[in-house]
Amino acid sequence: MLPVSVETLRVRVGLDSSDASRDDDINYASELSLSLMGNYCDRLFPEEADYEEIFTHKRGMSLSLIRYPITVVTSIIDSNGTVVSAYHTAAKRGIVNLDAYGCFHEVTVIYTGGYVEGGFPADLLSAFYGIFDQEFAAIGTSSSSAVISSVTVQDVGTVRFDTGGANDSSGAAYLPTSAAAILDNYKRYKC
Amino acid sequence: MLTPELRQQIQNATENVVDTLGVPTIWRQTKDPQATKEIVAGFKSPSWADQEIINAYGIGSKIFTIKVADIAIVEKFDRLTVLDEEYTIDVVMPVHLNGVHLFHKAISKGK
Repeated sequence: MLPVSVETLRVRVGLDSSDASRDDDINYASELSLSLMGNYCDRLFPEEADYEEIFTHKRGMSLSLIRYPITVVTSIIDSNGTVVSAYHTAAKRGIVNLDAYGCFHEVTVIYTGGYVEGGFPADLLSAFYGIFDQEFAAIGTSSSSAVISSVTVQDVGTVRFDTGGANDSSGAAYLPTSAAAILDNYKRYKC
Repeated sequence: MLTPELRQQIQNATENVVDTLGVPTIWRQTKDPQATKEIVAGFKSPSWADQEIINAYGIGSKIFTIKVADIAIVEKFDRLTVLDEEYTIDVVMPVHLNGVHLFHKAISKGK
């Protein structure tokens, strides 16, 4: 799934909106970007209908779903076949608040959640583009290829580039700094 | 040697340095057809690190860095105008990256 239309991404990478010659690369970079975003935030962003999430040995009064915002919860069923129907959802935070304390050996939640194509918030889309641009540019180059951080032309001067955290040694080194800063606000809220 | 992709990347980056930090310059060819072109070129007065250039061309000498992409051939006696100051080129040296001619390094004794 793409967060925006493929035509938008074609234009983004400098192609004509009807030029499908690099759709494979666009899809690869897009999926990789969403995956990196997901790993960083510990959540899944693209919408999927009837997504099944299983919690094992779960106790408490809430379930923190991995794919949100939640569109609709279809069912919550524990391993005994008991349907859990007394709950409220905090859709934007991906949390199902149970009305009663739950003690489950295994509980399965089937729900529809995530952002639809074209429904990503502007700042999240900006983070996506930051990662997408980086990953798309890296297609066809080895992982050890150099990243130019500064260029000096003798008798002219030096220009330094924002390498977007490529030289950062932190845990988010694979993400541009600006994207990581935005994604910090989208990290999964666990309870 | 660099890979073609990385060499192109570095070439683009170095040319970008000249575009970013250079000064608007008008080049006038001395020989026929006496062409002229407005370009952006690196423009520098020699510093303490350029003693040899000062010794050879004087304290008022200037060092121009001209992209080959802008002008393919720059020769001695061609003229470069920066604002209202005109300089005559005394010597031109090539700057290469691997086998690619990137810049002309042109030195003038002064305006």
